[in-house]
Amino acid sequence: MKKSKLLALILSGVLAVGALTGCSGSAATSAAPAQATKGEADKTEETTEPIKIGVLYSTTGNFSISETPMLNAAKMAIEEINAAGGVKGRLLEPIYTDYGSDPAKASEKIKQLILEDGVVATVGTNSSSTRLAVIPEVEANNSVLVYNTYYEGEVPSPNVIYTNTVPSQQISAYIPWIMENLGKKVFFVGSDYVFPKKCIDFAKKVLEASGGELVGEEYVPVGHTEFSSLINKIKQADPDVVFSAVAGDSVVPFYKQYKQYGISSADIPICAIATHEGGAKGIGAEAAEGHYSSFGFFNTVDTPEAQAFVKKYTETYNDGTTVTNLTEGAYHGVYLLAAALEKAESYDAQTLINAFKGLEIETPQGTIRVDENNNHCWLNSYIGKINSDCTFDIVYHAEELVEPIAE
Amino acid sequence: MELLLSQIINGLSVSSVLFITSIGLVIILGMLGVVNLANGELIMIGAYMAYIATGVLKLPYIFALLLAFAVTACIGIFIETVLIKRLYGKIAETLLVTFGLSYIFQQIVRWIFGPEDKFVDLPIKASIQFGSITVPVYNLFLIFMAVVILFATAALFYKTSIGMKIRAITQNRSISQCLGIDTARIDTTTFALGAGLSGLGGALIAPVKGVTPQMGIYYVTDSLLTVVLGGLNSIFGAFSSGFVIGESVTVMAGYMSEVTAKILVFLIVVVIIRLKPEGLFSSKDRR
Repeated sequence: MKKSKLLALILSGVLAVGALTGCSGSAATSAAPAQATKGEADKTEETTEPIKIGVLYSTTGNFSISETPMLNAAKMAIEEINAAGGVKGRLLEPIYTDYGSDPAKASEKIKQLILEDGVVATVGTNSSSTRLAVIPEVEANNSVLVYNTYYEGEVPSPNVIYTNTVPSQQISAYIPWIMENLGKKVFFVGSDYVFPKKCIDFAKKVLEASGGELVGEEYVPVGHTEFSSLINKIKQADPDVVFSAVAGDSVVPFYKQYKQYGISSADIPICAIATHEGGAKGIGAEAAEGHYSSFGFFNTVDTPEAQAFVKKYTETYNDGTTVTNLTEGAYHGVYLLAAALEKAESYDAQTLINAFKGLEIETPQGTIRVDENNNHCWLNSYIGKINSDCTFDIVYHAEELVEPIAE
Repeated sequence: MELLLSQIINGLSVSSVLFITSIGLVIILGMLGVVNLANGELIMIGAYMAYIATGVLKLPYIFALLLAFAVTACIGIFIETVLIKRLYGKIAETLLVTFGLSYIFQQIVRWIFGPEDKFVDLPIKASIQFGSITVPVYNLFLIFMAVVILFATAALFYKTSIGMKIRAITQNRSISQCLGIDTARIDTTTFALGAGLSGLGGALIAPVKGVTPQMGIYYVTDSLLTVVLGGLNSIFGAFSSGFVIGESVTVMAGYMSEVTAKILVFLIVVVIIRLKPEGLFSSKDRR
């Protein structure tokens, strides 16, 4: 779908956070029946036509644990952008699509979004299985996917903009920090699939380079809930630190049983890359306190932007969901897309993707920037320590943005 | 040596969890011939009841167990009367219905409680220390409860008149009907008992596991495995096979990767089932 825009009257300043609330027209975001605007709409009269974007998150099925808050955050960002006048005077028209936590269905849905609804880009998907299932459709139909979850950093697609961290960004600073503050003997544990394995591979390299000692490496099946054996092995190896890439529904039982079997966070803290605020609440303060995580964002980051975001989210969505780095990712993903739409001359996939390159925007986690070459983002790096409220005390913040290294 | 001992002790609590999460399945399968694929979701609902009782209502943990049993037994009565009753003897249909129910239960719970983990506190926090071996007291409680459930259900089946009726129906339904046993009512009771025990199991494991709408999925494979190995209609069989699987997977996992241990146990079970298709401990009465 080609739409060339001649006049970009409202400049990218529109998007500087919170500005220009005066020209909020109708902020209707309802997904109108999809009368696809395949025809050319070059005339100036028609430039107020909304820009369709797909929002592909599940609020049904297993994935809703992560994707419900992501959908909420994306919705919040879209509403804010529209309230501030939209993009180039055009509102964003989101088409919210639930794929029922089924990657195969996600691939059908994104095809519909692209071909029937005529979206210029889609924000969404969370697990790697879903992302990998939709990419062939996105590529075949030459559209754009804005992907907002931390992932393993492998086989990036030229049609996808990755706005959250890759292993290097979570780990490069984390391991040296662990060496310096917690100890050198590290035991690696992870769930048995690609993301934890890639992360641990990367972490092991950093560990070796920074002079640490690997005293164990174990993987548990996905969805594992029985950790007594693993904890025994950890005790036998007697590490200073457990580096955990245990993910998903295994996180809560792992920490609970870790405490139950008598290892205290003061003796051998767990340093995790997939345990966020939502997980910490499920673990409970007693078992969670004193362990560490590394992310691009925590909901306790103490900047006005971050706190305003968390406050607004919590007030808007009183549904028991927690603001995590995924939530923030979905939020800044929409803002990045809007900034790219603002900058792009036309909305064909290639032009739009080129518009992303080098974009720099303000987000709740701080300034972030899209890399000039690899479609990933330069992001913040925070390390947090879980406190007695099951939130994270920030103990480290990288001074500069961290480079995304994707393969 | 300490590792081995410690793994054997851990194996006992792993075995108890296996038994606790399969007893409901084995009763419903053994007595009614229905493979209840929503068993995991009954466990999940039981776990959420533990959350309501201890987290929301701040009641002592014993109420969590009672509430979990009562609520899931009622759900059992409801689905048996409305759906399952019409489908006895139709394996494919009951599979589909219970599979469908599992999704419905998950989504309803997700709507009510939200998608994120709920926290259920550990009611007994103490642990016993022998040298380097730590045994959480709550795990001993789980083992104790597994034995209590075993003997309570056995007593129910073998010492009460309703148990006798249940067994009579299992042996010969039409003769039982001729003798004036209200088989429909007994079916409902049996189903409710199975569902209630699954719910009770959920409340028992909630303090040491995660409580999410999809948690039930993780118990389906293991509990089916336990039931198949134990013999489809035997409560003692489920208890013993829970022990065999729990101990072997835990002891092996002490010396190799958790993933390998699990695969090996699956293989062993496949071989046993090939040689002894009725299961290791199948009871004599056949339908």
